Amino acid sequence: MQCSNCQFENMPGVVTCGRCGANLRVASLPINVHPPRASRAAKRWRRWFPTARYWGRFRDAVAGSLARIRITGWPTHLQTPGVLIRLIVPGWAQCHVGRAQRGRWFFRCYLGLLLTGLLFIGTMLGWVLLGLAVSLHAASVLDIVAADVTNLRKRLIYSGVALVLLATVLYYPAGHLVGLVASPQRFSVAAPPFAAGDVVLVNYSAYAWSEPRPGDVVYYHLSSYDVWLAPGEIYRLQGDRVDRILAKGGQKVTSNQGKLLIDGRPCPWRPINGQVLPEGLKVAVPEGCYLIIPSADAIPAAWGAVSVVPRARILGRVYWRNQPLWRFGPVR
Amino acid sequence: MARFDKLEFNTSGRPSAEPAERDPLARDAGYWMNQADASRREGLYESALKYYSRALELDRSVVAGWVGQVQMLVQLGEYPEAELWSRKGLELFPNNGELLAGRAHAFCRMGDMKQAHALSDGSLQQAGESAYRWLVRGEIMMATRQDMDRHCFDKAQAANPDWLVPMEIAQVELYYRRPSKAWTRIRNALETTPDATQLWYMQGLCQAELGMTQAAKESFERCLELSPRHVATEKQLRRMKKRKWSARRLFRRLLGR
Repeated sequence: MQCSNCQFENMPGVVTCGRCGANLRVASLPINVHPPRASRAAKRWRRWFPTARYWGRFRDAVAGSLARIRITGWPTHLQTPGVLIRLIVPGWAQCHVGRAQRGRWFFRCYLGLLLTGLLFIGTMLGWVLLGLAVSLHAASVLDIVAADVTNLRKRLIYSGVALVLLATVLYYPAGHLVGLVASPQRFSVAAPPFAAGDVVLVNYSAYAWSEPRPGDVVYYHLSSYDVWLAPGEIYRLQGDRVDRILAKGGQKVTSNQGKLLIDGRPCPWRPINGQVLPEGLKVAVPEGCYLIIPSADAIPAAWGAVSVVPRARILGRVYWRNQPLWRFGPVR
Repeated sequence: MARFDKLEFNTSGRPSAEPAERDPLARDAGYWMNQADASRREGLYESALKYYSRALELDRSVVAGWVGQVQMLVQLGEYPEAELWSRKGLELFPNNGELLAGRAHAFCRMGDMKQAHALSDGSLQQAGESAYRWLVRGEIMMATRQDMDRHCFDKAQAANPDWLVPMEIAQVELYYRRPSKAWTRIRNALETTPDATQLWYMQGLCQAELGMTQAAKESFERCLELSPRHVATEKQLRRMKKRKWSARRLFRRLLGR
């Protein structure tokens, strides 16, 4: 049996060629022999935007120039840019230079501190743990960069520079980005159903591209409003609050016998503190405003004036309760 | 009875590789490979690809069919598909030099020179020698702006004296905008094969690229004389007739590019 690939004469009955390894029964194999074809649109796209061609050239050029870079005066294992790039993840550079066990420990400890810190974010413990994680990262960088440095003063300078670089290059931008979607807010006083010390996560970018909807639990700013309880006795409503949107602009809201009606129909939502529902409420929500009853303040007041919140005062959406851990979960 | 009485000879004097004319049912893989080769020589790469596929439907062990498919996909500008198909071919025929060269060709056109170099090295290390491997090597050299491309192309021509090789080399040189080099090759090929339609077409393309409009027109007309229904040539002639003054062309002529 002659191999069609290399023309080697094989023994009869064998399945693969003894020289090149080609399948000798390929002639009768049930395989598709029609090649895949590019669609007309794909061909046009490739002609107009030959990204693949230029990407390959760009990558080769970058790889070539990186290979030429040699940093003199540094330890030998640092003279390749591969190690420097890997410093971005604690322990990765150690693994790259052959100290895998050390690298793994760095990574595990860092991950443990980071995750626990994120779990307790918004509390003192959380900030301390996150700080430790950053310090550990800096230590892992020092372990590579200043491995041969024994002078204490030099080591201190190195560690300071490493910390500043990590903070400015990595952690500040990362923290800023994370803060847009998960910013912790701590309750300093009890505001049922939240107790003092509870931490919720606020998504500040939730309404960047969409409008708030009734039913959303939002973090908003209540403008200062004085309620005269008695002569000389004022109750001031103000500050940032968490509550549920009950109606949007253009809707008419009434409350009667513990029931909230929106445009004459029962409202599926209740204020976040279900106990508070003002009696005899009659509000026509203006356009561009939302009805949010500040349910933490169970005082008889001019609810109609207080509850209408302009869109600009809604800061973000509250979606998660982070602390205490036994009440950890989504805010509904 | 004489010993050779029952032997059949081709009395008509024509080449015998026309089984379809003798018996339409006798269209084997070889027949479709011949058809594919003929289409390829006429520049009909889409048809050639179909014929290669038909040949493989009948016999999947024809390596030349797989290689031809990859080459046609490259000619048709479908480089990712060519790469994928050459990979499939290499699964069936491991380390086949032609398929390795085909894959290198696809990678080269996609701009991944590192892979293209490695695969081309691999293809040249395999046993045997072929024009295609050297052609791909030359193209990689040309794409990476190394001066060795001419030697590789010369090696390709030495490996196979067929006029298809200089024509495909000229196509590569035209792809990388080296029309004068391509024209030199085409002219040399035309000296030995003046009746090859595709060579006249290619010569017209080179001349048009060099700004020799009248000479290009004559080449295209000669091509149409040889093959009156050559669609690509008709298209080129139409384009040349419609062509007006162009700042880009003037700029290129001034700069000598």
